[in-house]
Amino acid sequence: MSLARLILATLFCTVAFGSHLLHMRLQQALPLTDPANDKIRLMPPDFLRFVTLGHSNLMADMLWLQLIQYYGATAQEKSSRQYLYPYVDTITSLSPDFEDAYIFGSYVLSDTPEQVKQSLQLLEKGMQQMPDSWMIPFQAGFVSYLHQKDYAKAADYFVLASKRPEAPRLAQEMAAQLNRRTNDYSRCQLGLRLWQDAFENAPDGELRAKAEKRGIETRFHCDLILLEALIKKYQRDALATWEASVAAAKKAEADTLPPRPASFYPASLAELVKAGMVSSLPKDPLQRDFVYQPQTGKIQVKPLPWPAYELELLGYVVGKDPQKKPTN
Amino acid sequence: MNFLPLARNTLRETIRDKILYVILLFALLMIASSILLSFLSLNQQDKIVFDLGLSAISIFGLIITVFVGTNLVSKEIDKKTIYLILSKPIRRGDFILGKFLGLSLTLGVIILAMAAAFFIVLWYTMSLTESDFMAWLPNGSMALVLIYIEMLLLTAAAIFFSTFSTPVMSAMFTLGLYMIGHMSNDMLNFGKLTGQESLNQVIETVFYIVPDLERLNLKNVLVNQPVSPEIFASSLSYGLLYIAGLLLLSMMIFEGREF
Repeated sequence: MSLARLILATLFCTVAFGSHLLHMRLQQALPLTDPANDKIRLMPPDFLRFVTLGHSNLMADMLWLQLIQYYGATAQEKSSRQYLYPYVDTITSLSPDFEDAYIFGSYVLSDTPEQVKQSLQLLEKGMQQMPDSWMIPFQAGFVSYLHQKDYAKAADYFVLASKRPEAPRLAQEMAAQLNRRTNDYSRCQLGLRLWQDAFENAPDGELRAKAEKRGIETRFHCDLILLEALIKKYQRDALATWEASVAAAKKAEADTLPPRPASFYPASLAELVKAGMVSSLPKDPLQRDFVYQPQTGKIQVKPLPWPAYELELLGYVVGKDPQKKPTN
Repeated sequence: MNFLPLARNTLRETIRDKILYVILLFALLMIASSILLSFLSLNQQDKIVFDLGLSAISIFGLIITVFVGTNLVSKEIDKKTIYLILSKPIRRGDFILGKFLGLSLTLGVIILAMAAAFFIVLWYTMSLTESDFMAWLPNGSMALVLIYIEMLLLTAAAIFFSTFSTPVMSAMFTLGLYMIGHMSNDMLNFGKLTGQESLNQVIETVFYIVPDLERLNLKNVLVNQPVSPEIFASSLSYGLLYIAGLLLLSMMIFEGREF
């Protein structure tokens, strides 16, 4: 080997070693595998769309792969997922039809109570971007139902999902059931209408029978809500009447004040008719009366020929323990 | 029809270029690598393969267009073979048309090869995910046709620039046109945001002069839903008309050029 080549080889080794040392130092100074660098990757979506020159879907895919790594790392280290929302927001801005990104993002976000709001925010964005998707409002319904316990809002989302193409029947059923659960009479009636609609449009006998049963339960439930509201009103009125009579007696400086009744609840449901609050008392489909307990003001129904899941769970069925989950 | 022998010759010449095969190899590797990436994608295999495959075809098509297209005219001038060609009964316009058609055919062959690899990879991935490949085929084909038209437009632009500038400058102009063509819609929006009427008008003028390449970039839409035949036909016609305009301009400039 000539001297010149030897010098060149030595120089090459020195330069290679030097660059390797420098690289190692850079790795320590700015570790690109650090999760903090997620912030660096997440530039504003508009900027990313601008610079990707028509390849925004590809950029969204790359960020999706990065998001999966990020989610995996935070799940393993049990660390906070502060960049999760920016990730899915950027991905869905670059690829607005990326349905699974909305669903996955909302699913993971709603796992953390502080991020439930962001989860719904993401789904709202998805509903705007993908007006034909039933899955996004369906997921929003579940987030509102399970994580926010907002049955009315959840029911509205399920109604929205049920109106979109290819929506499963479950969306309408969930809407009907959740409208019942709001304990609001008008919403309960809406639920009843949804069950009637499900009954009329059922594709087979089995589903029709199911819709019919749920419709009967819902009608029960609506009657129960109505009766409970009337009993409460009766109780309030009775209390107000008694308080007024006590006040009048005090003003008249009477020797004895009117005695406080043992209960302000109506003695029987017939009292509601007598008070003009309702024209007649509702009965169940088997023409049986509702069961009323004047001491507590509680209304119940006699067991139905089939297990009425919701009614049993809410303690409306006579002899059923609401703590116990019905077997069917 | 004097341009046909020139086109045939250009096809033969460009297809022999070794750099073409290196680029093609990289493109095929990138398309195939989408299989690996798709395994990491959490149920997004089809989407990853679709997006990555089409983007790879588009990016490598662009590289070929820029590197080969900008050299087509200047090579003939540098090697002085242009004198030989123009001494034959061939008009200068035919020369431009021949060069364009030749490279278009080469690009067609290259894109067909990449498309074949793309569809094989897509079919393989979809057979794993049990998706309906035939349902995606029309969308994929439409996206590929538009990518091809975009490449043809850039070829016409490369030829147009090379009629009056050096290959390096032509390559830069073509790349610049590609970038502006994809950014023009955003630039139009930025112009509106500034609220300055005069600036807005300048941007609007530029917007209508440069090709709106986003009209030919429907792959981001086609990954999820089909586009209407009207939109597809309009995009196609827009691209073809723009190509015709660029070729006519090139012919005009080349007619007046002195060697």
